[in-house]
Amino acid sequence: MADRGLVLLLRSGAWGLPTACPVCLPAYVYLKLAGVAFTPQYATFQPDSDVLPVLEYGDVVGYGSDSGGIVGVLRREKVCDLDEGLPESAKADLNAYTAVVNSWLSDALLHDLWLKENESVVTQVYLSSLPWPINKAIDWKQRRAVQKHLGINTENLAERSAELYRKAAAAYEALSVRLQDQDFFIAGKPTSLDAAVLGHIFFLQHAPLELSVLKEELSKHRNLVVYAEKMESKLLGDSAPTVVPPPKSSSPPPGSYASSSSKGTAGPNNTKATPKKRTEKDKLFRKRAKYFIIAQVAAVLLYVVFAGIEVEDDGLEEDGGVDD
Amino acid sequence: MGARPDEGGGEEQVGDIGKDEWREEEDGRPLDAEKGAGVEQVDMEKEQRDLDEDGDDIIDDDDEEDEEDPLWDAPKLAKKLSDKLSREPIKIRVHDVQIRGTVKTKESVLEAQLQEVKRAETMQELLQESVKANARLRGLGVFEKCTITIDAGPEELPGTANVTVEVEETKRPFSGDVGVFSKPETKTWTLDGTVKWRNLLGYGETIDATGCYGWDTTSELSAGVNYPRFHGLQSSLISRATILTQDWQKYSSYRERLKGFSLGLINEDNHEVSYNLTWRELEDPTRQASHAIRRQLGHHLLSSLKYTFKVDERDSAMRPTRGYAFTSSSQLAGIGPDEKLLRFARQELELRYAVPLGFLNGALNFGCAGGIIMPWGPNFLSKSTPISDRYFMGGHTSLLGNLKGPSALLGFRTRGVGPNAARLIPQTTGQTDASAEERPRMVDTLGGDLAVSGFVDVSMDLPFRILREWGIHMHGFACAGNLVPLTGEDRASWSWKGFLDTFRVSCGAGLVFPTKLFRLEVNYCYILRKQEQDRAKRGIQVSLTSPH
Repeated sequence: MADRGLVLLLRSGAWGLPTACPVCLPAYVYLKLAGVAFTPQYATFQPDSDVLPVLEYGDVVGYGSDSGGIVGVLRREKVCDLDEGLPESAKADLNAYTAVVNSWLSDALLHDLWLKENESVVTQVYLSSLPWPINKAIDWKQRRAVQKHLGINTENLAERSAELYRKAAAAYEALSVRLQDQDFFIAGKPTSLDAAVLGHIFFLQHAPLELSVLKEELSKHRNLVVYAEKMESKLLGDSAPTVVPPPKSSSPPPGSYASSSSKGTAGPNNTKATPKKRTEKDKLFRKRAKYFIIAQVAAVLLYVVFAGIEVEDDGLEEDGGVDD
Repeated sequence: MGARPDEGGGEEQVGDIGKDEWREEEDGRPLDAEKGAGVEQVDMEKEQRDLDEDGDDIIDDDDEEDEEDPLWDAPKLAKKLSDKLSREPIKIRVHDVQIRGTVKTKESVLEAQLQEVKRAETMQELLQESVKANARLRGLGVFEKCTITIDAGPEELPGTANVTVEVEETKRPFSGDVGVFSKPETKTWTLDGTVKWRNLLGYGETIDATGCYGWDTTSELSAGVNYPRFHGLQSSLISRATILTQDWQKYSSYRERLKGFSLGLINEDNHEVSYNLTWRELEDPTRQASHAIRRQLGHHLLSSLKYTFKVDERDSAMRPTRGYAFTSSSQLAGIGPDEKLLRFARQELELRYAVPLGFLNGALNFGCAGGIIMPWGPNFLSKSTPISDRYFMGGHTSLLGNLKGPSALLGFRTRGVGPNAARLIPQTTGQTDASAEERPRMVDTLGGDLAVSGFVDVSMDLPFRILREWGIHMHGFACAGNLVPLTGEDRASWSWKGFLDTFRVSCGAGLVFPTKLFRLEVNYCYILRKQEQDRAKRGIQVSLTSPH
């Protein structure tokens, strides 16, 4: 069997990102930060899998759901470890902040992605290769699962949302304070915390989410935004740290995804201009306008139908009278 | 109808002659020239009689002649009828078909089965078609009793017949079946239970619900409707909804879950067309799937149209001694506007031929089968075919029996032929297991896109009488097969020469124990040629084939 080197199986990419899945992106960024040569390949038929991303290294396979995630797998396989050699206090900080990112921020992102009206984004991330109707069925199933995971139902939606946003704001605040003006979060060198935070921020900046409270929160912390922009060109751009294996064409299912080369797609340019921000008011207005127009059309149709019948009836009656 | 006196030659008319009726009643027994017992009362028209211009009988003359006629002798009359029937076709027209005794069965159901009877033009044809129709009606399983009576037609229309069908519907429309069956491909036993409702809606249909459970490997829940002679067509309509879980973890590291339904038309004359819509989900609970299998996991939607043509002229499926059988099956998947459906085309051909040897009830059986599956669409050579639809060879099915495509190769393990891919070791277990390196690497079989197999089998009775009575006999065989992937990444370039060179061959002999439910074989197999990746074993192997 040909030696494929390190292969990372991800969900497909979109919007200038090599992978559009918020869970797979941190693993990608980590490997890029570590400068390890790897081949990204795409698993497009498993939207509801909880084991992605998957790392195949020789004859060993590691899953994103393993202990420590892909970072843990890489550490145990002795491929790379960005967190080694840290002093104890730094390690403690690292663990604490990583916990905040992986719980508060990731939950808030799940909420914005699934429970706000972002179906097109969800479809593009998870369901772009599935035909109708199974994409609808799986979408419904996953939505239910996210609701369960976040403990949200129709009654407590408002308060749970507020709670999630409060925690996310606190997390951004904490990260911003920790980062200050440094290049990296911990001890001046890239660590797994950088990978986690960058993965989150890249997704937030690139995905065309509507009405994203998270985005607004993030924009309040300039240093985080600047930090992400600085790292973006290095990580998602054309940097080739070590020998890059020739790009392997993965089994190509139909559907849109970014190129399968490990260089990632060209630059951080979005395909369209800054996404239009629509406030709640706008949405309500559009909904009302839609209903208004539907009502108008229905009224016109009804008039035509019933008015038409009256005319015919008169005609028949006249004829009947004449015949009799 | 010609009006002329008859002397037993030329065309004859069988008509109503005054009060005498001509009646024949039969209960599904085949009619032949010697039949006499089935005929209760037969009266023959006189050999000489005058007929009008428009063919009416002159009744008075006939009556007189009848009363004088001492021929109320049933056997003699029967013989006369048989003679007449075997001599010449007796032209007749069916005037009316009456159906009696139906309570909830719709009359259209019976009328559909009686189409040929209505169109009969001679007496012989009428009798034959009546027998067949009777068998078909009984075959619906809906009636307890079914009697077809052929009567003379109305007096004013000579040369006609009335057919009366009397049925009695079953009181108990339910029937159930529970059994334990062996599934040779996965080498497990499954518990099957079926419940059938016949004629629930009065259309002669059979509704069945089936549950099938095999410990840890297969479980299936399905329900179907079989509607015979759908709307006047010669075909039955079959629709089926299925939820099926099939476990291939041991061989290929995946488990598939299918939810789907199919709709088909089956023609008794060997044609079958069906449409299938299935949601397939492949997952890997072992977390050890190889690189190739991991790319197959996930959700897929199959929307396919399949046409099967079958001819089976063998004298027996379980132990054929003469005749031939041929089947061709074509399937096109990807029916629908969505380009994300599974897209492939699959063709399978199989031919069997049996030649009797003349001594010791022996027979020589030949068979060959081939199949190919290819994806279609843009860039199809780099797509790989779905693993659930590929061809696999090897296992515990016997060479004879029903035609199942190129899948049987004795001596090789289940899915034991063809390319393999090494399984990956999950990182969390790899570290803790110190002996992992010494154990041989586990592999996943990937199957092939092109498969060809053939066999020769000689069978004959053993010289012991008691074994002969039970049907136990011996057989010797030689079989060969090969399969190879055609598309997808990682495929090696292949050539016809390479394909022929890598054929797997095995031979052997054994004993066959045919029973009502299945055919059991105990064979000693000797592998003549195999490839290094195959899993095959020389030695004793047990094969099981069920007649379904």
